[in-house]
Amino acid sequence: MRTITRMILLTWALALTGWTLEASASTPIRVVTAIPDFAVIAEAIGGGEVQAESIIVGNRDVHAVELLPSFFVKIRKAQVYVKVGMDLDLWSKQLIDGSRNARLVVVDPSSRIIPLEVPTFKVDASYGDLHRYGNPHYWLDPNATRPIVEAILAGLITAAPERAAQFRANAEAYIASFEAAAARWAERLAPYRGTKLVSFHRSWPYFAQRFGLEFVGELEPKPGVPPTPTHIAAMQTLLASGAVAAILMESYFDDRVPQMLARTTGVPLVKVPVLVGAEAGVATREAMFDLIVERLVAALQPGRTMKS
Amino acid sequence: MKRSYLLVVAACAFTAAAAMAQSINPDISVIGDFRAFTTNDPEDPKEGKLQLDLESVEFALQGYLNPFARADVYIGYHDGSLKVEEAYATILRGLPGGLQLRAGKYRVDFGKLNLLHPHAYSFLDPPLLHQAYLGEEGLNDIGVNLNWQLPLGNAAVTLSGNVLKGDFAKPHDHGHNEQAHTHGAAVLLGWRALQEDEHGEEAIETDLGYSQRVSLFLPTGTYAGVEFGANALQGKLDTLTGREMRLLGADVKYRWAPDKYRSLTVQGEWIRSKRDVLHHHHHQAIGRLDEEHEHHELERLSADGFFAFFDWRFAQRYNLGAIVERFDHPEEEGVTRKRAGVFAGFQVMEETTMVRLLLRRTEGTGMGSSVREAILQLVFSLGPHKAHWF
Repeated sequence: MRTITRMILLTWALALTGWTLEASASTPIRVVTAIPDFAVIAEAIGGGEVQAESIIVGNRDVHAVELLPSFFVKIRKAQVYVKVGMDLDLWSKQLIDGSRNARLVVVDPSSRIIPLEVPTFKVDASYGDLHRYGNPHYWLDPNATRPIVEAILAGLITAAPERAAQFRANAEAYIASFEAAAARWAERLAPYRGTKLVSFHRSWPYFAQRFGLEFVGELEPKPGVPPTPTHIAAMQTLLASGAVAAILMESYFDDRVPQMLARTTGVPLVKVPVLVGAEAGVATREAMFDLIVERLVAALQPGRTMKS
Repeated sequence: MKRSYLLVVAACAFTAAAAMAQSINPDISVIGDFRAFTTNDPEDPKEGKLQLDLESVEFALQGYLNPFARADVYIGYHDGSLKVEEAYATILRGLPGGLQLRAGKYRVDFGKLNLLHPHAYSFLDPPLLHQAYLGEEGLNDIGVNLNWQLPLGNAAVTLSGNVLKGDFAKPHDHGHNEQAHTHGAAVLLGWRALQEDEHGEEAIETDLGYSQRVSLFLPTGTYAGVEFGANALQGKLDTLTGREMRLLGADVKYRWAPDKYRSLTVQGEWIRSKRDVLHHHHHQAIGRLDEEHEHHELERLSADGFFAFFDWRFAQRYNLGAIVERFDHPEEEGVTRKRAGVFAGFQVMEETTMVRLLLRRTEGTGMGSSVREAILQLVFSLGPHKAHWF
């Protein structure tokens, strides 16, 4: 028992030391984001005065995150937290609660976008992992960048109002640069308007709306439900019909079923990152969209005959 | 029994009505645990036969009280009766230094596993070690908890202290709950001696108990880490006789989740128990046949035990694992129990519907032959599904 008591006393002493050090280190604004796309935006707005890190790192599924104490620690030290919202990252709420951070500014960019696919019926688990506030993959719309930037900007200004002018200027510069790139992507995909695609998960309604693409099915029978034999057979029939130009899949999913379908039907499989950092060399949102667009264009060969 | 069913119906009606109400209402979830099992336990009147049981139904009401605090209430239906399993309020933020405060009835953070509700166990039931040392429902008491988490780089040290009412020290409630959490657990644990204690549960007066936990989490990757914990608890088993109990524990948990399809959990816990046990001696004074004296003698018994398991999840929806445990009986000298089990599981979609199979064998001092069990479990879950804590 004495050993335990000594351990506790020692730990409390360390705790006090750490707390003091923590309190004194406050120069850069610390931002934690649910996804890395928001972290790169926060750093772009901050222009060197913001240090941002994401809970999701690498090629991960945003829908499911285990609550590690290291995440609480990150948020505990942060001034701003940027969630995805629309019930996609319900874990963000648990992380915020577990962080014990009373001064945290919580930003929800989803409140500034026009949601797509908002159910007009009572959502329950029989629909799979369907989100009651609409499809939450809005960051895959290049045009959502402006509302996302504005939301994060507002959060940063709340945390550090004295730097508002600088943040605003950086935000405008970022948006201008990004919108120029978005125009380029629209031009690249313009010849493929109306092209029919299949995806693994229903991640693409915002992207599809922006570029005039049409998604006619998903490999998941319901959102969040892995492909079942019956559904795979149905998708095989659809793909073999020739009406679908490509399978566009999110890189964090297992590609064995899509590979098999591509092999047996001849429909090309386009595997792309849906988060910054999900693939080597994808360090910015521009790089991510560049890669998605170029891989898609490469797969959608002009002149490919498709039945309507 | 009839009253319990009425309460269940009332709880269901409340659940349905509340679910239709506005979003300001608390989150409501219901988790059912259905089992089909068979055992070769000779103490079981249905030995060797297929048996069916609705092991438990848990109703959870959870929500925010205000921007600083939340409340969680868990009501469990088990073995024909409804019981408040947990009901507590937590001050999440706003206290100095990032302290969090919890008050009410709750599962105490003695070890890592005790915090989980049994339906979350891949191996179906709490380890026998926990049932013997912490109580059939684990260490669950009315009390106040204060805890503090300190960032050390990306590592975290958590300090936690509890002042407890002391119900944990009461004799286990075998009277109507013999099958609790594990079929025939009372027999497997050799708890008859406790049941024969001349002090019934009503008569026992316990006192405040205290527990503390220190844990250190070290990340070993972005989605991997190891946590070491040390735990201590002390309480009075009976204020009348002054009997005390002390527990010391150490635990470790390692988890690695390289992608959304795979994860490995390796976890273990060791507990050392010191309890005062009351021995009754009857004397007849020499030459005075009509005079009999009862003499009580306190003896401090030391015992210890451990459990360890691994759980490998693969292809997102499947898992396989094994658990072993061994411990001395905390109140009967020389009595030991050993248990080993293998388990497998399948999730239809996350935790909404899970099917698990457990094969296990229990043996030990005075049990005669070993007891083997095969249990098939269906866990169904309604309501919001929250992310798992490490």
